[in-house]
Amino acid sequence: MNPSQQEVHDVFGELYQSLTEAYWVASTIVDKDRLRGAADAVFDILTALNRADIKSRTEEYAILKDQVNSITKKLAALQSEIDSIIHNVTVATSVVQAIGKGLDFADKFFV
Amino acid sequence: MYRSPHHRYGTLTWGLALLFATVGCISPAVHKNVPAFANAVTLATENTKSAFDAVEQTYENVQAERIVVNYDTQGFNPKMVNRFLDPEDLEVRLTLLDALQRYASTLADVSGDEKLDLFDDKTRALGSSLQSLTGKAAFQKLVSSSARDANIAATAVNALGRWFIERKRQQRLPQLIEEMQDPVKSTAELLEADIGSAPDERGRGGHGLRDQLWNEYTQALLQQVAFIDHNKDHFDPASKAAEIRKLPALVRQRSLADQTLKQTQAALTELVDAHGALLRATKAKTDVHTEFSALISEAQRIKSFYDSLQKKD
Repeated sequence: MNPSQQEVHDVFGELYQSLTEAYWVASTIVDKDRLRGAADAVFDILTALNRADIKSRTEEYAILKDQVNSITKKLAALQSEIDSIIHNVTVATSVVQAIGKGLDFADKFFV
Repeated sequence: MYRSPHHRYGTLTWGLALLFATVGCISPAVHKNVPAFANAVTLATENTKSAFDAVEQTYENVQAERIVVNYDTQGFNPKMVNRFLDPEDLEVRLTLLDALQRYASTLADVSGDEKLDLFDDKTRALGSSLQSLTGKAAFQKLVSSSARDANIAATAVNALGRWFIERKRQQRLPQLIEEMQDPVKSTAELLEADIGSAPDERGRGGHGLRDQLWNEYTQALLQQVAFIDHNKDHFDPASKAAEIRKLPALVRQRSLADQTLKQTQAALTELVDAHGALLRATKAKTDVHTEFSALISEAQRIKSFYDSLQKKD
């Protein structure tokens, strides 16, 4: 059976931990540099595994983004309907004001 | 049968309030929960963006320090410089978070009282125009109507319009909020998985941003020690002390940075909880007492609206 991504990660994680522990107790610069070089290489592998792990979810984000946008559009449509009710009253006010002006004009003209 | 204007007005108020109450209004709990959800989205978005930024920035620093420490033996090659995450991987996450923020702000606009207040202002303007019209001599020649009738008409338009707005909200909002519950939950779960966990004492169990950031700080420690070891004979005592002091600071920063990422995961859990509370509020059945209180409160609102028109008489 193939090991899981986390099992592979754990193997390199333990190795990195061992190398850094060894680094703190190494007594010569030569030994330290050798251990640091190995730790750098394992760090790069762990970075690649973390990067791949995060990348593996990227497609799901794209699908979710579409779902969220679709629901937000429906919400925006509801908002527009509410705005149109408010707009209708504004139009009614304009009509009433126009009738008033028309009556004023007619009153002066037909006296 | 003669009815006093007061009685007529009272009947109108209760009639309109009853009409309104047959639909009910978006529960006050929804109003209360929308800002809480909007705040949770903002917090989760900002923290998540910061988490990705922190990992990327620290990765950049670690690369630079590695080049400095290894320069004498390895020199420099542009291929030594790369990003932790490809821009498109980060972009899709940030776009989703922005989409969630747009959802939260549209939800706040739709469910808030601002639209109803605006509607009140507009119908009040209609009332004033009607009053002005009924006061004109030319109008009175055509129709026998008083300012009081104009006020009643404007009040009726106000109550009916509010009824329409509330009806639309109550019919559609719960369904839309319910539709969003799964995307919100999945988004939080994905981001929590991205953030992952730090390694344990044996180096196991780590993955995601927390593992990456933990290792980046460990790398920073190794490089700092190497830098001191390779240059210790060239430092004056003060410079040497300053470089050594960076070591415990880095150890503390590693723990703090990890705690911050852990808190971001908690903020994502709160985001799901806040949306769940919102969903429950839209589905909550109001009891008789609450409905009666709503009825009284709506009757009082209509009375205040009517009074505000009369003050202009």
